[in-house]
Amino acid sequence: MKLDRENLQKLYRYAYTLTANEDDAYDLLQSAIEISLRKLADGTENSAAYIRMIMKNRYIDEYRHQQSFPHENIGDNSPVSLDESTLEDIVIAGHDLALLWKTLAPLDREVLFFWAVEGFSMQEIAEKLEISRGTLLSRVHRLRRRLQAEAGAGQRGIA
Amino acid sequence: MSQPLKQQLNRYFKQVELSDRQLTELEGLINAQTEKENRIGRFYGSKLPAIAIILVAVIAIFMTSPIPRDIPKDMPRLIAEEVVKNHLKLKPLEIKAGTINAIRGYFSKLEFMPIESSVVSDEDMQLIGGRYCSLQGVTAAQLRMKQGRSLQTLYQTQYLPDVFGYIPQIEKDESPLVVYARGIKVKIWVEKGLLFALTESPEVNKNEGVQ
Repeated sequence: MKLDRENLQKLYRYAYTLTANEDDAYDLLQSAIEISLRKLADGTENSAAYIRMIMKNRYIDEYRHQQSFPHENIGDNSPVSLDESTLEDIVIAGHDLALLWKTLAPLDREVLFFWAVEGFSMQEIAEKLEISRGTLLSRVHRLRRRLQAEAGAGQRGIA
Repeated sequence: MSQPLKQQLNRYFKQVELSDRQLTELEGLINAQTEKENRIGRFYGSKLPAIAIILVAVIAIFMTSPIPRDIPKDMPRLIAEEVVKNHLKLKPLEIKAGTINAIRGYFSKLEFMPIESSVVSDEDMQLIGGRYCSLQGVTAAQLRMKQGRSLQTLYQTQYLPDVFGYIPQIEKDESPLVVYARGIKVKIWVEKGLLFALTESPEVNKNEGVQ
Protein backbone atom coordinates (compact mmCIF):
# COMPACT_ATOMS: atom_id res chain seq x y z
CA MET A 1 0.00 0.00 0.00
CA LYS A 2 1.32 3.43 -0.92
CA LEU A 3 0.01 6.28 1.21
CA ASP A 4 2.11 9.34 1.86
CA ARG A 5 1.48 11.88 4.59
CA GLU A 6 -0.53 14.12 2.33
CA ASN A 7 -2.87 11.29 1.47
CA LEU A 8 -3.18 10.35 5.12
CA GLN A 9 -4.12 13.93 5.98
CA LYS A 10 -6.76 13.95 3.25
CA LEU A 11 -8.22 10.72 4.51
CA TYR A 12 -8.20 12.04 8.04
CA ARG A 13 -10.11 15.14 6.96
CA TYR A 14 -12.69 12.98 5.29
CA ALA A 15 -12.98 10.89 8.46
CA TYR A 16 -13.44 14.12 10.37
CA THR A 17 -16.12 15.14 7.91
CA LEU A 18 -18.03 12.02 8.81
CA THR A 19 -17.51 12.04 12.55
CA ALA A 20 -17.09 15.76 13.38
CA ASN A 21 -14.78 14.60 16.14
CA GLU A 22 -11.01 14.37 15.91
CA ASP A 23 -10.57 11.33 18.12
CA ASP A 24 -13.35 9.43 16.38
CA ALA A 25 -11.88 10.44 13.03
CA TYR A 26 -8.50 8.99 13.93
CA ASP A 27 -10.03 5.76 15.19
CA LEU A 28 -12.10 5.47 12.05
CA LEU A 29 -9.09 6.05 9.81
CA GLN A 30 -6.91 3.62 11.70
CA SER A 31 -9.48 0.83 11.60
CA ALA A 32 -10.10 1.43 7.89
CA ILE A 33 -6.39 1.18 7.16
CA GLU A 34 -6.16 -2.03 9.13
CA ILE A 35 -9.05 -3.51 7.17
CA SER A 36 -7.64 -2.37 3.85
CA LEU A 37 -4.22 -3.81 4.69
CA ARG A 38 -5.79 -7.20 5.08
CA LYS A 39 -7.60 -6.96 1.77
CA LEU A 40 -5.59 -4.79 -0.54
CA ALA A 41 -2.78 -6.07 -2.67
CA ASP A 42 0.47 -4.20 -2.26
CA GLY A 43 0.78 -1.21 -4.56
CA THR A 44 -2.88 -0.79 -5.34
CA GLU A 45 -3.08 2.66 -6.81
CA ASN A 46 -6.59 3.36 -5.67
CA SER A 47 -6.02 2.42 -2.06
CA ALA A 48 -7.02 5.87 -0.78
CA ALA A 49 -10.41 5.58 -2.47
CA TYR A 50 -10.80 2.11 -1.04
CA ILE A 51 -10.02 3.32 2.48
CA ARG A 52 -12.47 6.16 2.04
CA MET A 53 -15.17 3.69 1.10
CA ILE A 54 -14.37 1.52 4.11
CA MET A 55 -14.58 4.54 6.39
CA LYS A 56 -17.94 5.53 5.01
CA ASN A 57 -19.36 2.03 5.39
CA ARG A 58 -17.97 1.63 8.87
CA TYR A 59 -19.24 5.01 9.90
CA ILE A 60 -22.71 4.21 8.67
CA ASP A 61 -22.63 0.86 10.43
CA GLU A 62 -21.33 2.16 13.72
CA TYR A 63 -23.06 5.49 13.99
CA ARG A 64 -26.32 4.94 12.19
CA HIS A 65 -28.21 4.06 15.31
CA GLN A 66 -26.59 6.80 17.36
CA GLN A 67 -26.76 9.67 14.94
CA SER A 68 -29.40 8.57 12.48
CA PHE A 69 -27.36 8.83 9.33
CA PRO A 70 -29.83 10.59 7.04
CA HIS A 71 -31.02 9.43 3.69
CA GLU A 72 -33.70 11.97 2.97
CA ASN A 73 -35.80 12.31 -0.12
CA ILE A 74 -36.89 15.51 -1.72
CA GLY A 75 -40.13 16.67 -0.20
CA ASP A 76 -43.03 18.45 -1.78
CA ASN A 77 -41.52 21.78 -0.89
CA SER A 78 -38.57 21.34 -3.22
CA PRO A 79 -37.28 24.60 -4.53
CA VAL A 80 -38.45 25.67 -7.90
CA SER A 81 -35.01 26.32 -9.31
CA LEU A 82 -31.76 24.77 -8.27
CA ASP A 83 -28.27 25.31 -9.60
CA GLU A 84 -24.66 24.69 -8.70
CA SER A 85 -24.08 28.21 -7.44
CA THR A 86 -26.42 27.78 -4.50
CA LEU A 87 -23.56 27.73 -1.98
CA GLU A 88 -21.19 30.07 -3.80
CA ASP A 89 -22.60 33.31 -2.47
CA ILE A 90 -22.74 32.36 1.18
CA VAL A 91 -20.43 34.31 3.46
CA ILE A 92 -19.82 33.12 6.96
CA ALA A 93 -17.50 33.82 9.86
CA GLY A 94 -14.94 31.20 10.89
CA HIS A 95 -16.29 31.06 14.41
CA ASP A 96 -19.83 30.46 13.19
CA LEU A 97 -18.69 27.73 10.84
CA ALA A 98 -16.84 25.93 13.63
CA LEU A 99 -19.94 26.01 15.81
CA LEU A 100 -22.21 24.99 12.97
CA TRP A 101 -20.06 22.16 11.66
CA LYS A 102 -20.72 19.71 14.46
CA THR A 103 -24.47 20.26 14.27
CA LEU A 104 -24.74 19.47 10.58
CA ALA A 105 -25.87 16.07 9.40
CA PRO A 106 -22.99 13.84 8.27
CA LEU A 107 -24.28 13.86 4.71
CA ASP A 108 -24.33 17.66 4.66
CA ARG A 109 -20.76 17.71 5.94
CA GLU A 110 -19.78 15.34 3.16
CA VAL A 111 -21.37 17.63 0.59
CA LEU A 112 -19.46 20.62 1.91
CA PHE A 113 -16.20 18.67 2.13
CA PHE A 114 -16.40 17.39 -1.43
CA TRP A 115 -17.48 20.77 -2.73
CA ALA A 116 -15.03 23.02 -0.91
CA VAL A 117 -11.99 20.86 -0.12
CA GLU A 118 -11.98 18.33 -2.95
CA GLY A 119 -13.34 20.77 -5.50
CA PHE A 120 -15.91 18.39 -6.95
CA SER A 121 -18.84 19.53 -9.07
CA MET A 122 -22.36 18.79 -7.91
CA GLN A 123 -22.56 15.97 -10.46
CA GLU A 124 -19.38 14.42 -9.07
CA ILE A 125 -20.61 14.79 -5.51
CA ALA A 126 -23.91 13.15 -6.43
CA GLU A 127 -21.99 10.20 -7.90
CA LYS A 128 -19.78 9.98 -4.83
CA LEU A 129 -22.76 9.92 -2.54
CA GLU A 130 -24.72 7.66 -4.88
CA ILE A 131 -27.73 9.96 -5.02
CA SER A 132 -29.34 11.72 -7.94
CA ARG A 133 -28.21 15.21 -8.88
CA GLY A 134 -31.70 16.56 -8.20
CA THR A 135 -31.72 15.07 -4.74
CA LEU A 136 -28.34 16.58 -4.05
CA LEU A 137 -29.33 20.04 -5.22
CA SER A 138 -32.44 19.91 -3.11
CA ARG A 139 -30.33 18.96 -0.15
CA VAL A 140 -27.92 21.78 -0.88
CA HIS A 141 -30.82 24.21 -0.99
CA ARG A 142 -31.96 23.16 2.47
CA LEU A 143 -28.38 23.39 3.64
CA ARG A 144 -28.15 26.92 2.37
CA ARG A 145 -31.25 27.90 4.34
CA ARG A 146 -29.75 26.27 7.41
CA LEU A 147 -26.48 28.15 6.94
CA GLN A 148 -28.32 31.40 6.49
CA ALA A 149 -30.24 30.94 9.70
CA GLU A 150 -27.32 29.71 11.77
CA ALA A 151 -24.89 32.29 10.47
CA GLY A 152 -26.79 35.12 12.05
CA ALA A 153 -30.06 35.86 10.29
CA GLY A 154 -28.35 37.38 7.32
CA GLN A 155 -26.53 40.00 9.26
CA ARG A 156 -23.15 38.32 9.23
CA GLY A 157 -23.24 35.98 6.39
CA ILE A 158 -25.51 35.86 3.47
CA ALA A 159 -24.69 38.10 0.62
CA MET B 1 -14.02 37.76 9.90
CA SER B 2 -16.61 36.70 7.38
CA GLN B 3 -15.46 35.11 4.17
CA PRO B 4 -17.05 33.10 1.38
CA LEU B 5 -18.14 29.66 2.59
CA LYS B 6 -15.74 27.73 0.36
CA GLN B 7 -12.77 29.75 1.53
CA GLN B 8 -13.85 29.44 5.13
CA LEU B 9 -14.24 25.68 4.83
CA ASN B 10 -10.75 25.29 3.38
CA ARG B 11 -9.32 27.36 6.21
CA TYR B 12 -11.28 25.25 8.70
CA PHE B 13 -10.02 21.98 7.26
CA LYS B 14 -6.41 23.12 7.26
CA GLN B 15 -6.64 23.08 11.03
CA VAL B 16 -7.85 19.50 10.95
CA GLU B 17 -4.72 17.44 10.62
CA LEU B 18 -3.01 14.42 12.04
CA SER B 19 -0.28 15.09 14.54
CA ASP B 20 3.26 13.83 13.89
CA ARG B 21 2.72 11.10 16.44
CA GLN B 22 -0.47 9.93 14.71
CA LEU B 23 1.17 10.03 11.31
CA THR B 24 4.08 7.98 12.60
CA GLU B 25 1.71 5.43 14.08
CA LEU B 26 -0.21 5.03 10.83
CA GLU B 27 2.95 4.85 8.75
CA GLY B 28 4.28 2.18 11.08
CA LEU B 29 1.07 0.22 10.65
CA ILE B 30 1.29 0.42 6.87
CA ASN B 31 5.01 -0.28 6.65
CA ALA B 32 4.81 -3.32 8.92
CA GLN B 33 2.13 -4.88 6.77
CA THR B 34 3.90 -4.00 3.53
CA GLU B 35 7.12 -5.56 4.75
CA LYS B 36 5.24 -8.69 5.76
CA GLU B 37 3.65 -8.93 2.31
CA ASN B 38 7.02 -8.45 0.67
CA ARG B 39 8.59 -11.24 2.71
CA ILE B 40 5.75 -13.60 1.83
CA GLY B 41 5.95 -12.58 -1.80
CA ARG B 42 9.70 -13.16 -1.91
CA PHE B 43 9.34 -16.56 -0.27
CA TYR B 44 6.60 -17.83 -2.55
CA GLY B 45 8.15 -16.19 -5.57
CA SER B 46 11.33 -18.20 -5.17
CA LYS B 47 9.82 -21.44 -3.89
CA LEU B 48 6.61 -21.65 -5.88
CA PRO B 49 7.92 -23.82 -8.77
CA ALA B 50 9.46 -26.33 -6.38
CA ILE B 51 6.36 -26.41 -4.19
CA ALA B 52 4.14 -26.97 -7.23
CA ILE B 53 6.28 -29.87 -8.47
CA ILE B 54 6.32 -31.55 -5.06
CA LEU B 55 2.58 -31.11 -4.69
CA VAL B 56 1.87 -32.67 -8.09
CA ALA B 57 4.20 -35.58 -7.33
CA VAL B 58 2.57 -36.27 -3.97
CA ILE B 59 -0.91 -36.19 -5.49
CA ALA B 60 0.17 -38.48 -8.33
CA ILE B 61 1.64 -41.02 -5.91
CA PHE B 62 -1.43 -40.89 -3.73
CA MET B 63 -3.83 -41.31 -6.64
CA THR B 64 -1.99 -44.25 -8.24
CA SER B 65 -1.13 -46.21 -5.13
CA PRO B 66 -3.41 -49.17 -4.26
CA ILE B 67 -2.20 -49.21 -0.66
CA PRO B 68 -3.17 -46.48 1.76
CA ARG B 69 -0.04 -44.55 2.57
CA ASP B 70 -0.70 -44.18 6.25
CA ILE B 71 -0.64 -47.86 7.16
CA PRO B 72 2.78 -48.86 8.44
CA LYS B 73 4.26 -51.85 6.62
CA ASP B 74 5.02 -53.51 9.93
CA MET B 75 1.48 -53.24 11.26
CA PRO B 76 1.36 -56.94 12.33
CA ARG B 77 4.45 -56.35 14.44
CA LEU B 78 2.91 -53.25 15.97
CA ILE B 79 -0.24 -55.21 16.79
CA ALA B 80 1.76 -58.00 18.37
CA GLU B 81 3.86 -55.56 20.35
CA GLU B 82 0.79 -53.83 21.78
CA VAL B 83 -0.93 -57.12 22.60
CA VAL B 84 2.11 -58.60 24.32
CA LYS B 85 2.80 -55.44 26.28
CA ASN B 86 -0.67 -55.57 27.80
CA HIS B 87 -0.55 -59.33 28.13
CA LEU B 88 2.51 -59.08 30.36
CA LYS B 89 0.91 -56.40 32.53
CA LEU B 90 -2.03 -58.63 33.35
CA LYS B 91 -4.18 -55.71 34.32
CA PRO B 92 -7.17 -56.51 36.54
CA LEU B 93 -10.19 -57.90 34.75
CA GLU B 94 -13.28 -55.74 34.68
CA ILE B 95 -15.58 -58.72 34.34
CA LYS B 96 -15.13 -62.31 35.26
CA ALA B 97 -17.13 -64.62 33.02
CA GLY B 98 -16.76 -68.11 31.66
CA THR B 99 -18.98 -67.76 28.60
CA ILE B 100 -19.00 -65.50 25.61
CA ASN B 101 -22.66 -64.64 26.24
CA ALA B 102 -21.80 -63.23 29.65
CA ILE B 103 -18.95 -61.29 28.12
CA ARG B 104 -21.23 -59.78 25.47
CA GLY B 105 -23.51 -58.41 28.15
CA TYR B 106 -20.65 -56.48 29.67
CA PHE B 107 -19.13 -55.15 26.43
CA SER B 108 -22.27 -53.30 25.40
CA LYS B 109 -20.38 -50.14 24.49
CA LEU B 110 -18.34 -51.79 21.77
CA GLU B 111 -19.20 -51.21 18.14
CA PHE B 112 -19.03 -54.94 17.48
CA MET B 113 -20.16 -58.17 19.08
CA PRO B 114 -17.49 -60.38 20.65
CA ILE B 115 -17.65 -63.87 19.25
CA GLU B 116 -16.04 -67.28 19.68
CA SER B 117 -13.33 -67.93 17.17
CA SER B 118 -12.71 -71.25 15.51
CA VAL B 119 -8.99 -70.76 16.00
CA VAL B 120 -9.39 -70.34 19.75
CA SER B 121 -11.72 -73.33 19.96
CA ASP B 122 -8.94 -75.48 18.61
CA GLU B 123 -6.58 -74.36 21.36
CA ASP B 124 -8.44 -75.86 24.30
CA MET B 125 -8.75 -72.59 26.18
CA GLN B 126 -11.19 -71.48 28.85
CA LEU B 127 -12.51 -67.95 28.95
CA ILE B 128 -12.15 -66.38 32.41
CA GLY B 129 -12.94 -62.68 31.90
CA GLY B 130 -12.17 -59.47 30.08
CA ARG B 131 -11.74 -55.71 30.05
CA TYR B 132 -12.13 -52.81 27.67
CA CYS B 133 -8.99 -51.97 25.76
CA SER B 134 -7.86 -50.65 22.41
CA LEU B 135 -5.69 -51.89 19.58
CA GLN B 136 -3.92 -49.30 17.43
CA GLY B 137 -6.42 -46.77 18.66
CA VAL B 138 -9.49 -48.89 17.85
CA THR B 139 -11.69 -49.87 20.78
CA ALA B 140 -11.27 -53.54 21.53
CA ALA B 141 -12.20 -56.28 23.95
CA GLN B 142 -9.26 -57.78 25.80
CA LEU B 143 -10.21 -61.27 26.90
CA ARG B 144 -8.24 -63.49 29.21
CA MET B 145 -8.09 -67.20 28.55
CA LYS B 146 -6.81 -70.05 30.69
CA GLN B 147 -4.87 -72.73 28.91
CA GLY B 148 -3.70 -75.43 31.25
CA ARG B 149 -1.61 -73.53 33.80
CA SER B 150 -0.99 -70.59 31.49
CA LEU B 151 -2.93 -67.43 30.90
CA GLN B 152 -3.34 -66.08 27.41
CA THR B 153 -4.67 -62.81 26.09
CA LEU B 154 -7.11 -62.60 23.21
CA TYR B 155 -7.91 -59.28 21.55
CA GLN B 156 -11.02 -58.79 19.50
CA THR B 157 -11.88 -55.70 17.57
CA GLN B 158 -13.65 -54.73 14.39
CA TYR B 159 -11.47 -55.29 11.36
CA LEU B 160 -10.72 -51.93 9.69
CA PRO B 161 -8.54 -52.49 6.61
CA ASP B 162 -7.68 -48.76 6.50
CA VAL B 163 -6.20 -49.06 9.96
CA PHE B 164 -4.77 -52.56 10.10
CA GLY B 165 -3.95 -53.23 6.46
CA TYR B 166 -4.46 -56.68 5.07
CA ILE B 167 -4.69 -59.47 7.65
CA PRO B 168 -5.22 -63.16 6.69
CA GLN B 169 -8.85 -64.22 6.75
CA ILE B 170 -9.95 -67.60 8.06
CA GLU B 171 -12.96 -67.71 5.73
CA LYS B 172 -10.54 -67.63 2.80
CA ASP B 173 -8.65 -70.61 4.21
CA GLU B 174 -5.75 -68.37 5.05
CA SER B 175 -3.61 -69.21 8.08
CA PRO B 176 -3.18 -66.75 10.92
CA LEU B 177 -0.07 -64.58 10.87
CA VAL B 178 2.49 -65.59 13.45
CA VAL B 179 4.50 -62.74 14.87
CA TYR B 180 6.82 -62.73 17.86
CA ALA B 181 7.08 -59.81 20.25
CA ARG B 182 9.20 -59.79 23.40
CA GLY B 183 9.69 -63.51 23.07
CA ILE B 184 5.99 -64.29 22.98
CA LYS B 185 4.20 -65.77 19.99
CA VAL B 186 1.16 -63.91 18.74
CA LYS B 187 -1.31 -65.18 16.18
CA ILE B 188 -3.22 -62.56 14.21
CA TRP B 189 -6.17 -63.22 11.92
CA VAL B 190 -9.54 -61.98 10.71
CA GLU B 191 -12.68 -63.98 11.22
CA LYS B 192 -16.30 -62.97 10.64
CA GLY B 193 -15.29 -59.35 10.20
CA LEU B 194 -13.36 -59.16 13.46
CA LEU B 195 -9.64 -58.95 13.98
CA PHE B 196 -8.21 -61.36 16.54
CA ALA B 197 -4.81 -61.37 18.22
CA LEU B 198 -3.96 -64.26 20.53
CA THR B 199 -0.87 -64.74 22.65
CA GLU B 200 0.70 -68.14 23.11
CA SER B 201 2.77 -67.52 26.17
CA PRO B 202 4.89 -70.46 27.25
CA GLU B 203 5.25 -69.23 30.80
CA VAL B 204 3.10 -70.27 33.70
CA ASN B 205 1.67 -67.12 35.20
CA LYS B 206 1.83 -66.67 38.95
CA ASN B 207 -1.71 -65.40 39.24
CA GLU B 208 -4.74 -64.78 37.12
CA GLY B 209 -4.77 -61.05 37.61
CA VAL B 210 -8.33 -61.11 38.83
CA GLN B 211 -9.34 -58.72 41.52
